[in-house]
Amino acid sequence: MKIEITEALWLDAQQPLTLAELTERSGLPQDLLRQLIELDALPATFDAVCLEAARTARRLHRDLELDAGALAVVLQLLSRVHALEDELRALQAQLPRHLF
Amino acid sequence: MKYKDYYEVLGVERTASAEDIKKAYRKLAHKFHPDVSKEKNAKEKFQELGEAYETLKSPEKRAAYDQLGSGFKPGQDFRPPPDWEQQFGGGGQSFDEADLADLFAGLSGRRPGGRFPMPGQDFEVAAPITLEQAAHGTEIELNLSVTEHDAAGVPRRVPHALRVRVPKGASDGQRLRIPGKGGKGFDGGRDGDLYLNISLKPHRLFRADGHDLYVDLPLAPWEAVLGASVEVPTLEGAVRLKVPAGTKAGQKLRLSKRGLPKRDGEGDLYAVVQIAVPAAPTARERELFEQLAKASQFDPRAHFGGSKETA
Repeated sequence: MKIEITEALWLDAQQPLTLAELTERSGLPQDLLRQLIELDALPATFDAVCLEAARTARRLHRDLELDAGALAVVLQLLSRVHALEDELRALQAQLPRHLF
Repeated sequence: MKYKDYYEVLGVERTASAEDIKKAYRKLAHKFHPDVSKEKNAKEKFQELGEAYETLKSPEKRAAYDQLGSGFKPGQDFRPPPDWEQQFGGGGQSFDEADLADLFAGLSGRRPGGRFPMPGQDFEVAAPITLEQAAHGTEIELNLSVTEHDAAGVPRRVPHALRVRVPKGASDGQRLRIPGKGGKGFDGGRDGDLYLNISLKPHRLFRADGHDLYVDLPLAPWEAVLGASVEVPTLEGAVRLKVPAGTKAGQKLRLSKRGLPKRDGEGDLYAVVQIAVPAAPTARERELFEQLAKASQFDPRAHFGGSKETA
């Protein structure tokens, strides 16, 4: 079994992506990608944050056969859930350990 | 090759209609989809579901699967019927290392109208690391099982070990991309990418919020009142911290740049003050506290606005 060492690349907001890259890496059909951006379900930032959401959309589209409208609702709710989870983590970090 | 009971996975009878199979899949898929599910093992469970549905939703694949009969138990070794070898263009291949799912995927791989490039699958891997590893950077070893095809097109699962260097500066939820290390592309399609989802394992002392760290700092009542110089642990060893006189419980004392490193600078470390009391004070301590109680005019509950008599 061969072992190779590979460098991992940061995936974050600082790298801009083209629409073509976004389509290729997310695997989302381009018209659906456009629709989701128009519906404000994906940030029109063309960066890794947008890519992450687009990849989620692609999985939900493929696995649950959700259309653009349903995807938009799920993505917006998921984004709220993640924001709340971040806030909860931040608050828990500040609480003394014996309190949770 | 190991047998898998796709009907059992979907919770349907072997005689179930296509509609029933679809319904069962939908119901379970909503419950276990890893992007929305909080169920334990959602990812594994969903993968099983997808595999089962992929095979049973197609009449041809379902017929091929049904040919295997129902005499096997999940996980049991079995040999596929001889005509399967013909499907893969010849005789004598070994299916020992093949995965049932890959074989069924192969059945649809015979696409009419010629071959066209298909990108390889992207892999998503969870990578829990310690705070120390996040602070210093680390190498993690991944043991993946990937599908390869031999010359005759017979798929088999091969172990693939990969060492990935995680640069310092990662925080909880950080994602890393390793281009070209996912599944192999077909007929000239690009190879998939490997995505690492970094999570931070819980630490004995520190709690992380982004790149900031929090540590509980218990103080004796007199340290809080009089001020003190105390040792506080950091990821890089203990440092001295001057606690100002009159420090209250819950106050956060900031130790600048003692948090997790970022790519541009460092997070901070916050010492969260707690007032600790001796569980079993000595007679002398008790006596001194009693003296203090008599002498002190301090009313910690003055803001309640009630009178002292009823307090």
